[in-house]
Amino acid sequence: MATQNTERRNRIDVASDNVLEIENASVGFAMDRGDAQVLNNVSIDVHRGEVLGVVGESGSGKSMLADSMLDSIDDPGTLTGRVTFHPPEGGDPVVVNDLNKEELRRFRWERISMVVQGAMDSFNPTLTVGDHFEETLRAHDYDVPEGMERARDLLEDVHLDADRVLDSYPHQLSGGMTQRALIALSLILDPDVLVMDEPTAALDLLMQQSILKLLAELKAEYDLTVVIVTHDLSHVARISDRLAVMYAFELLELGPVSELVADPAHPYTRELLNSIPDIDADLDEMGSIEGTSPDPLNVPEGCSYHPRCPIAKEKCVNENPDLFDVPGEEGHGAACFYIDEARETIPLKKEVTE
Amino acid sequence: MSSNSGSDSEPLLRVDDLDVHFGGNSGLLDRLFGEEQGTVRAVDGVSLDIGENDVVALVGESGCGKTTLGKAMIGLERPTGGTVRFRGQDIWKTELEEGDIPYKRIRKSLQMVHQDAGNSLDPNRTIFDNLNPALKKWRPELNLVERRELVHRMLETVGLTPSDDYASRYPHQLSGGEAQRTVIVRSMLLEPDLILADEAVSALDVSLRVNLMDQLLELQEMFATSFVFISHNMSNARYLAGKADGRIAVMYLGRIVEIGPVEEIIHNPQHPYTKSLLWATSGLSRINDPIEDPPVRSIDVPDPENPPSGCRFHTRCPEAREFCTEHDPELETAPEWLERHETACYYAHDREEYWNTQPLPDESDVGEDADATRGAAD
Ligand code: SF4
Ligand code: SF4
Repeated sequence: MATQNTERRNRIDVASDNVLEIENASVGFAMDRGDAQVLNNVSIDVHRGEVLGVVGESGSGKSMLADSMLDSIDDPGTLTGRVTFHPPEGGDPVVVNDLNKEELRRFRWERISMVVQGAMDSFNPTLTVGDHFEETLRAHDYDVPEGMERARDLLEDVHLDADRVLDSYPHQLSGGMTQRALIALSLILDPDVLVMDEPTAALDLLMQQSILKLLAELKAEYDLTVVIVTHDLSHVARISDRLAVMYAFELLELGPVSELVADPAHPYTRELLNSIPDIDADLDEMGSIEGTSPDPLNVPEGCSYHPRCPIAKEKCVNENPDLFDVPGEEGHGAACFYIDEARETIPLKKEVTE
Repeated sequence: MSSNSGSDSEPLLRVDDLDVHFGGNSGLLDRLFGEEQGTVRAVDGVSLDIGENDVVALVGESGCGKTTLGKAMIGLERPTGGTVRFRGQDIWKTELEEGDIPYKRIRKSLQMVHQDAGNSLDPNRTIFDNLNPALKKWRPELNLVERRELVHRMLETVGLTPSDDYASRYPHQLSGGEAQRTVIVRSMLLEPDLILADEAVSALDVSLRVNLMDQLLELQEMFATSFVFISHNMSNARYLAGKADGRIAVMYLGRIVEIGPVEEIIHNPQHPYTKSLLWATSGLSRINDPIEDPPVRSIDVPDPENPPSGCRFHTRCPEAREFCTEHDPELETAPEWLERHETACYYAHDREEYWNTQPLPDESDVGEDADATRGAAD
């Protein structure tokens, strides 16, 4: 098992107005084959008004991190650590994972909303899209006629014909339309934070990119903070302010997007960037990362990336690196003992134009 | 002549004016008096030649008919019009009457690797036992020892080493990528002439894709097999077809709207739809640029049951003019383009009649377009 020591420095501090603070979040699961740690001691601040991209491949723990933000880990998983929400109007911070069931029910949608992949499954097939808006408003004691006005605005914002969509059943809409309707629904109670877990993964690229563009507009219009979780770094990089890279249930790198893409510090991030089939890169310059992500029951000791890392050393096998400050922009951190060496010896194959 | 279809010598596979229409009424009377509403023209008048050792990537959004076209090409979907000829022989006629090449031989020559490859393996059999029956059936000249040897060699080629270990595993003991490679091996073992791979890499983690694509290409070269890759992702299509010096064909609502050599499609696209697909595939080098507005007048695909008149892209096309609503452009090349680059667009071909009509209004109030019900074609 990877080390669970709480002394390990796992956060990067920058002076910022945080809407959400996640401290030492861990999630454990009992599996048939033993106990699994599917989120391991992650700390991250979400800055008010930013788009934070959380990037990771399958089995990286990225969805667990998203679920932790709303304390919505499925049973029998258990969340430890602390998730704190700071209301924009000031007032007392809310410790999300101390809320009781009823408080949590209100908190979700009103404060933090979540959109997941596969909108179809988030809708009840026997209700119209309009019914979903009304029910949500009613369940939270909001004024329905007033709320439905907002619903129309939101639907128009995501390029949907409000009249038609409100009267439709989910199956009468295309995948791209349902997903946009779900985004509109998630904003109906004017939340402060929108957490999206692979919100567009099942859609065509033209629709995915269009939705990201809409999202950037919604964010500006409604003063949102957005967290987007995805397996595809290239996809979210353009709308994100910062990126968090997850691997083996830990946070490996965090930083401002431009620097993180132009010159990442962690060997994994560097290799990941090199492996992305990129439309602008030379065909011969792309390659894959050898090996596969670790099994949750069998995360390597020391630095969890060491079996795949081209510059791993003795120390990496035995010790789990802190999240060290990376020379350069403020707020850039990477969990690697040999940041300088990584930057010198693992060349990036694509150049980012300034 | 070296166009994309209809040159003189018979290629490996020739698709000629192919239609696959679904649903609606297909009784004799309806066929005589034209089809009713409710028919989805998943493939509508497509012609395409696939040569020996040729690689083509079919690209388009869901519902564009790319999977249906692919299946019709390899004999898994019966066309409602047009022909598919394998080395000169109509594959659907051969099913009924004997041709020079027996039907059984054609079936073996045209193979498919599905998207959900893992599910096509029998969970109760080892990998070897999953691969062995097809070999036994199609390669009866081999004995068990030879079959075993061949299976092991192929597993090693795609990186499933040690092959002894992999051959004796069960499907649930494989990762997604390993299952995908096993299925590819299964189809390669038959030494087919053409393999259709439907979204073979998009289910994999990004960091593993290039590796799988390289292995596919290695096999392609080793066996001199032709490949048709179906993908919704331009970057993957470019990688696969580009490394093999192949072509990309872009489909929209049942038609090929642009086709040509890979780098030509990527760096010199002519059709507005191809340009919009490329817009959606932003490279990392551009991350510091803000995302521009989508280069389409509507982001939703029209209802395939009720495709727009004239050029089918006119409801979304940023260049559309009145002329496009009534006339249906054909694939054509232009002297200044690379050989084999063809597109079906009046704007791209700078047609005078097109310029003489008014541009279509910008539908800022989107959603006004035809119902975008879920596509049935893909
Ligand atoms: S700590 Fe060691 S093994 Fe881990 S990423 Fe850095 S160099 Fe590689
Ligand atoms: S023919 Fe007209 S509508 Fe069709 S793609 Fe060209 S410009 Fe657009």
